[in-house]
Amino acid sequence: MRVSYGIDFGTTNSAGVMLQEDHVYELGDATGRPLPSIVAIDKATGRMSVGREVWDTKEERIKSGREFVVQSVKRHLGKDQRWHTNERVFTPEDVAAKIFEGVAEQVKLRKAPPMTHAAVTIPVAFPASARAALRRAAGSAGITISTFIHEPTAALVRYLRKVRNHQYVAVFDWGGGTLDISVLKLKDNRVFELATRGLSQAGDDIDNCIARAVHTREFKKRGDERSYDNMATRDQDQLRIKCEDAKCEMSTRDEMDILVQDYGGGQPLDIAVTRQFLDGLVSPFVDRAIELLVQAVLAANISFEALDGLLVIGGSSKLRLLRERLFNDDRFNSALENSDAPEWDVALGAAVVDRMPSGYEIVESVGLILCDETFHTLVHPGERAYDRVKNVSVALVEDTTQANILLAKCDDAMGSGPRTRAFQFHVPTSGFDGERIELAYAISEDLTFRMNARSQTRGRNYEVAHEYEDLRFAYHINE
Amino acid sequence: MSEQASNIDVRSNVYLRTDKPINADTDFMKRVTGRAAIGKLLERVAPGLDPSEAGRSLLTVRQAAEWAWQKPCELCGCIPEGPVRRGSVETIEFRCPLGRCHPKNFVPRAFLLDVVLVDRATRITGKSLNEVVRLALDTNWRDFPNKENGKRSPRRYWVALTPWEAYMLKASDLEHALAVYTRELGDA
Repeated sequence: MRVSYGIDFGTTNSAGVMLQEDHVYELGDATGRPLPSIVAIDKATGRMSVGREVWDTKEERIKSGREFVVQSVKRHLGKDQRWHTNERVFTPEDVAAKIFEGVAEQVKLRKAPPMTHAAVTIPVAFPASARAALRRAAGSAGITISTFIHEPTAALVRYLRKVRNHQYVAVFDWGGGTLDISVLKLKDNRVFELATRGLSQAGDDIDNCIARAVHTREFKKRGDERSYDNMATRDQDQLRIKCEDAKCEMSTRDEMDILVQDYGGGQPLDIAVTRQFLDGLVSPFVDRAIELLVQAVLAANISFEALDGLLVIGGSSKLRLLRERLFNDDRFNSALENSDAPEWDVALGAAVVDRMPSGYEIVESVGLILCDETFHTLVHPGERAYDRVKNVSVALVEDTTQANILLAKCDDAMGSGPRTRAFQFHVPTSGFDGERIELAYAISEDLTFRMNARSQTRGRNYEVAHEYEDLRFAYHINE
Repeated sequence: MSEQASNIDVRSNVYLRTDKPINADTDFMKRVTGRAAIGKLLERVAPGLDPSEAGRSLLTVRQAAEWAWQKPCELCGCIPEGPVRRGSVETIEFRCPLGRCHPKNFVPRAFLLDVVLVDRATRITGKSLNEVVRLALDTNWRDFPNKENGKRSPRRYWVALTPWEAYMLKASDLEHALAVYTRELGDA
């Protein structure tokens, strides 16, 4: 049976899951956790390192100045960011490729079939240029992306057995770098995204907040006035990692010790952390997160009673205070579905998608606005992405030097409902001659509408290309 | 100061073009607009023919109006006639942009019209032929079937028409308009 792979390419951590028959293999690193999405590039040699070893020593590496330490590369994909070393110039794609390699490496260690393909998750509003860059990065690592899938949709696919008969499901995905909330509608095996909300305060910010509070307590005890920011980077790294561990441990315990053998010049740090202490620090983050969830449900124009399911996933969703608050909240407790493996859910959903044929369908029509203001439908609702290239011919109706190509979107297939102007571009002409302007168009595998205009007029060739990404899609689950 | 919204927009200036030669692509031909483009179109589809003759058979009323009329007024230099759209209905109207010229700047043209029809029209309305022709042409006479009068007694009349009308209309068109108008009055 074909082995399926799913990758949750995250801002802070990247999780890979292998699915073989009904067995799920989480492709964690040596600690069993997802691979930190962090890459160090040696400025002299161009050698790249990835994952936990870089994460655990990141402040030290930054301070040394010998390496570029690249975090959150997902936010740089498709942009002009560059890192210049003595050997070569590195792009965000190169860094992303290294992270893909790091995930694929875990497959090799398990002596499983190599990861040559995978479904890869992306945020709902991930730009087309970033999608294309991510696809190239995976290709550089020897992985063909079988399909992109939006992160909340992947989470829903993961829990499809539970939510199959639901109509409205909210996905609350709180990872290391971001909180992403989506309200989805399930209808006729199709997943529609009704509303999304995001926040860039997540696990890393909580870890730093705890580390600062623990430092303050320890140094108050010592009578030392040095601030956390003035500590050696090695000390900061150690304390932050210990605090992250404590945060995770405290999801099942009421009290524990944070112990760093050598913190701040030969002295050990030993602080007893209680639930009350931790909750006091985490509470503002949790309040903001729940407020955002409320906003997302309201933006979806549904009532809290209508919400059939609330999938709480992502590493930070393990926070006990969050789970308790949601459990005790009448708006959400009946819909609440807590995950046992919240860091892996999205990747597992992607692996399921990699196994079963499915795809995105456009839910609105795209058409040409003609000179008489009529709408000529090019793409009908329900058409699948990855379709072949189609063609239509137009010609200029007036004697001017530029053809105005206008495209609009409409909810119905014939364009008779309210239209939204999608985009426009201009094709140079030599005046009226009745000659055809050939328009070739397709919905690309990166979920963009691409149009290429070509005209041959009076011996001159003109070619103009345009790409449009603000389209609405529904995911078709084909079991 | 409050921000002002733009009140201009780019309009599409293309239409679907089939694989047929341009003279067989009638849907496209109907959409060609502007005197320059229409002139080039006529050169392409009816080379060597008199443009006004070719225009009568190949162009829509609107195109004919544009073709005949997108040339400047000899008095003020403006283009005083043009298409006006009210909702979905489009008509050709006189509208001097300088407000100097009036549609009384007509062009006289001789027509052979049925004397019985002309007599009837002027008698029923109590108006001169020029006045009744103006009223008749303002009706939607093209929407009614043209009932040819087999027993015509033609006589030469001078009629004052707007330049577009003088360029485009034939005697049968005037008789058609007069017949529709007088029939409507008679019915009333």
